[in-house]
Amino acid sequence: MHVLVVEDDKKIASFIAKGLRQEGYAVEIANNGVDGFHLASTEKFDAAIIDLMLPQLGGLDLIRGVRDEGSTLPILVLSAKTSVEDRVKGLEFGADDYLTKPFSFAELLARVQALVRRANAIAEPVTLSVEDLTVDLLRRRVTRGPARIELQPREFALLAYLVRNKGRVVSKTMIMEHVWGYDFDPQTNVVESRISRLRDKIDAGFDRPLIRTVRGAGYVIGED
Amino acid sequence: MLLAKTRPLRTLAFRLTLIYAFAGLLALVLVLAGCYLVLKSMLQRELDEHLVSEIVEYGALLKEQNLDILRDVLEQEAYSEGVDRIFFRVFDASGKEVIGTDVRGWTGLSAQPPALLAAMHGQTVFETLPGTETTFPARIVYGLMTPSLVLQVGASTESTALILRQFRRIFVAAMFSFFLCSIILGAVIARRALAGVRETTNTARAIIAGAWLSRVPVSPRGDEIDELALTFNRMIDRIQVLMQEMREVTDDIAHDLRTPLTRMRAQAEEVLDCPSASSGERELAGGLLEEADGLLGLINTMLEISQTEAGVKEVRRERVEMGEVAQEVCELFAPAAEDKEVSLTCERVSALPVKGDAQKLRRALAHIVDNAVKYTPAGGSVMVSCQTRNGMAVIAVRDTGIGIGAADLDKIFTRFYRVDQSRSQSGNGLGLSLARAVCHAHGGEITVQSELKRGSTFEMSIPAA
Repeated sequence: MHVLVVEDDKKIASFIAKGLRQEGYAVEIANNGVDGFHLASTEKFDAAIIDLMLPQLGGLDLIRGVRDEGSTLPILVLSAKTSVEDRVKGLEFGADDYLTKPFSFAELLARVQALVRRANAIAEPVTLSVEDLTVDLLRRRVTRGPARIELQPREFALLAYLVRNKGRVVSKTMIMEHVWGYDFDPQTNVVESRISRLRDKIDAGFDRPLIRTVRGAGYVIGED
Repeated sequence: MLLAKTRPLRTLAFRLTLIYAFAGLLALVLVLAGCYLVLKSMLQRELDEHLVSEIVEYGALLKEQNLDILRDVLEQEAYSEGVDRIFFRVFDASGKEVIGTDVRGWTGLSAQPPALLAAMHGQTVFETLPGTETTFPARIVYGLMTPSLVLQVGASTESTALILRQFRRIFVAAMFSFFLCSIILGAVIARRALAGVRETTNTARAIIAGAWLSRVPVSPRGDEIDELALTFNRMIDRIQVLMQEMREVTDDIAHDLRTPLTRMRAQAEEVLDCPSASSGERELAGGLLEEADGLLGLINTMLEISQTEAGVKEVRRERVEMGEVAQEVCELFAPAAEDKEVSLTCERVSALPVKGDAQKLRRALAHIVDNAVKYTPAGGSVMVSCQTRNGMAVIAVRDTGIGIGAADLDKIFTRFYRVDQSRSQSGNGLGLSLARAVCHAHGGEITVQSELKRGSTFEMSIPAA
């Protein structure tokens, strides 16, 4: 997989590139719109991650230029602007998805994977697994080893979110946003209480706990 | 803020109409009363002149004829006019009645009138004989016919009275119809004159409801109302520019803060992901990550409060079932409350629809329930109940928590205000402020009642759909 990253902030660009390389992607970085456009029109990529605020050639113009050449390259837009108009504008200019800064790498990776899958018409896997835990997204079934585990709908959604981001830390804020759709940080232990109930069902009676707490940061499932 | 609907009886148009109508009525009454008085005195004078002319006429007759002829003439005259409408009496110098027509229909006539003496001395004396229940007042004149004979003529004022009565009837009818017409006409004129004011009000209402593009129509007349409309429109243009600027500024601030936050978050994630990092380093990185998320939440919430309060973004108006919102929020907090040994109950009602933004309303209520659970010690309870009251969907969150002191009660909705000044408890003090901004944006209100150590009740009311 070959991914183009167009981002003028060098730290952010290298953070994205490093994470993607760890996942086995080949990454090329452009620090301005002109270089980005040049790379996009001369090399073959599977996906592009493009920041909207770029020197020399803005992200929107870059995307339009790429689309005008007839390219169907899947494009994920990064932007620090949250307003709906900006989002709509990005999509109108030919982007495929939109991610607001700041983002977690887990989120970025999930979006890029989804874009590549969609472009190559690959269906999303129906079952996800971590070690001996299997989550069947279609039948909404969870098994660990031979044992079937019954979960409530919210617990299932929480587990599915953790497993989709396996090996990566997801913060409480991210869980609130993706599992419950709330954009706020509760002062009560809303997430902790759910996680502890999920643990009671997933990890109780097994030698190796799957859900780990990363102090201060959040939770991670599987892969040390 | 909600604008009170003006009551029709208190409108300027109504008051102006009434004032004009009454002023017009008063003027009409004065004019008609003047006419009445003039007419009355004219009729009276005419009658008097007629009576005096009778005296002169019969005096002339007496110079050529004798008393017997005069008696016949007078009696004939009285009979032809009607004996209860006119009478004649002739007195000699000693005050003795020498001629007298039939005066049986006349009450209150004296046989020896005191005015005779003055009449004997050549004066013409006028008298009014008051009327009774069955008769009209009469006008009586004394005058000398010959140096030794006085003629007393009395005539009923019946015809004058009838004319005046007719006049009074017309008078009252005119007053009534004038009053009616002036009310109708006044109402029409006032409505037309104030149409511009009404249009301005309607436009202002539309703008409050979010229709920022509406403007008051300005007519080419260029009167005071048009000046008001023009000034109003100019003011709205200015506000719109300011709002646009504010939106840009907040967007810029958000942007400028998000980029370094992204960098911060990225570095923390990198440390967390680094296999060679020690557990202490991971913990530091984890803390950094959480702080970054907290800071982002703070920025987002602040922006949302300012934008919601300023009405920069239009509130969505979808049908939202508040009962379901309450249920969802309770479901979210149920495990946390259970772990804290706080009983959280949601009393659900079937239909509590409002028009609004489900996500915002849910978040507003979530902040209230979050607070309630946070400040209720183990063993206490939090009750969420829904009801309709005075056309408002009301969601009440009642807790048996630590309560809020009277001094703090009116400040808790202020941004960053926290009852716990030591700030040892987590939280940024923006939740209730956001909840209030959301309620206001939906045309609703949020209120709180509280007693220290007994608990608090928050009520969110949103106009029912």
